[in-house]
Amino acid sequence: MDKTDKTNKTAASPKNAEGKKPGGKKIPKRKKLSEAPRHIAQAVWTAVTNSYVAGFLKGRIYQGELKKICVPGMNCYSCPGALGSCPIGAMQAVVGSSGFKFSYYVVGFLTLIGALIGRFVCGWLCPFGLFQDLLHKIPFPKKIKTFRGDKPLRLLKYVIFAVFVILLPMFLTNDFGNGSPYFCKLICPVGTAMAGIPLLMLNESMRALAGFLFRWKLVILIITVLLSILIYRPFCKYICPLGAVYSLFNRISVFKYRLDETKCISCGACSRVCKMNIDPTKNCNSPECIRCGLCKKACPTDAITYGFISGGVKAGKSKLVEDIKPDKTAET
Amino acid sequence: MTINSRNNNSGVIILKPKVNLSKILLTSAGPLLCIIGAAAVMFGHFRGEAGVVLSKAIMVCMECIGIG
Repeated sequence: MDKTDKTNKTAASPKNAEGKKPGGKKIPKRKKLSEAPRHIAQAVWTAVTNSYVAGFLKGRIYQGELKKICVPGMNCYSCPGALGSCPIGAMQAVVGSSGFKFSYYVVGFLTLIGALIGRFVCGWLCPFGLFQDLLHKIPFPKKIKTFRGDKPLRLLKYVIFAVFVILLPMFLTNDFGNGSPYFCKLICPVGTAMAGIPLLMLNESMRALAGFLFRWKLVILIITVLLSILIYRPFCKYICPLGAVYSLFNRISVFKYRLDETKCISCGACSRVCKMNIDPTKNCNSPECIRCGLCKKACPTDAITYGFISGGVKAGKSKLVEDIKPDKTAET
Repeated sequence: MTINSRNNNSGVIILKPKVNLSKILLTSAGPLLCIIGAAAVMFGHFRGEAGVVLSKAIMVCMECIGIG
């Protein structure tokens, strides 16, 4: 772990913030970056999708018809307040059932949401994302921005998705042909935080049943909490199978980011503020981008825009990075 | 659509409109997958997968909370 996170209060570096680049393009004033609107949206969404208040009061869960509908983010369906189902839990339930070995219902849902907004879900609609965002705001002398092995470790989430969400529930079954939700059982700290701890606090009979597995999951949760203070969203970067699925859609989703290279002055403000360690000038729809919008806010020339397909903030003026690059190589 | 210019033997520059296939694929894949996804959700619902999800979700998931 060799590099530390320097909190960016402003976008452009002081050196070039008010001056001129060698190319002669004038850089406008530095911008203030606020994440409050996003955190409010995350909190509102979390409150809406977990609004079964009776569950929190009586230590039980919602059992209505709405539970058959998946929510886009990591939201354990055993949370006392949950109105919908976690797509990862739902996927394991269907592929692990004796009746079905493929889930059109959940795969279709993930395809629909992924193709529509990609990892916007991670940045704006995931309760556990909000949890990690808030934990990372806890002051600590040395925040870790990146470390050796950071990039290869990000591939782990794809392995976890394939092994613990698909293969084990599908093939490691009991005599009746039913598989366990192995990701939920062995790894998921979301279930411990959102369901395990509240239910065990509220329900004495459940408390009596808690054994080694609960302690194991509690250890994973504690590690996740501690790491979240040091590293920005470690669960999303390295573990989350839902983020892994949505990341595959980032490049092709209907909602996407655009970089206007004619406006970009390569000041590096966007990559400096990005907490997921992406350089938007290289790929503004990177699989790791959670679409928090900080890069857009940080850009002093408004070169980064977002929107649906031909939309965008300034529709028609911005181009996809992928579209611009081939033009440079065109013969003249 | 991009403009690709080339020199011919007479030295006259001809501007040819070039269809950018990757751009078309990038912009059409998203809406197409949305439609496929929505259709898959409906198909899965009608073959009873939503019932499996519901039956799992309305019971306390012992594995999720670390008991089962």
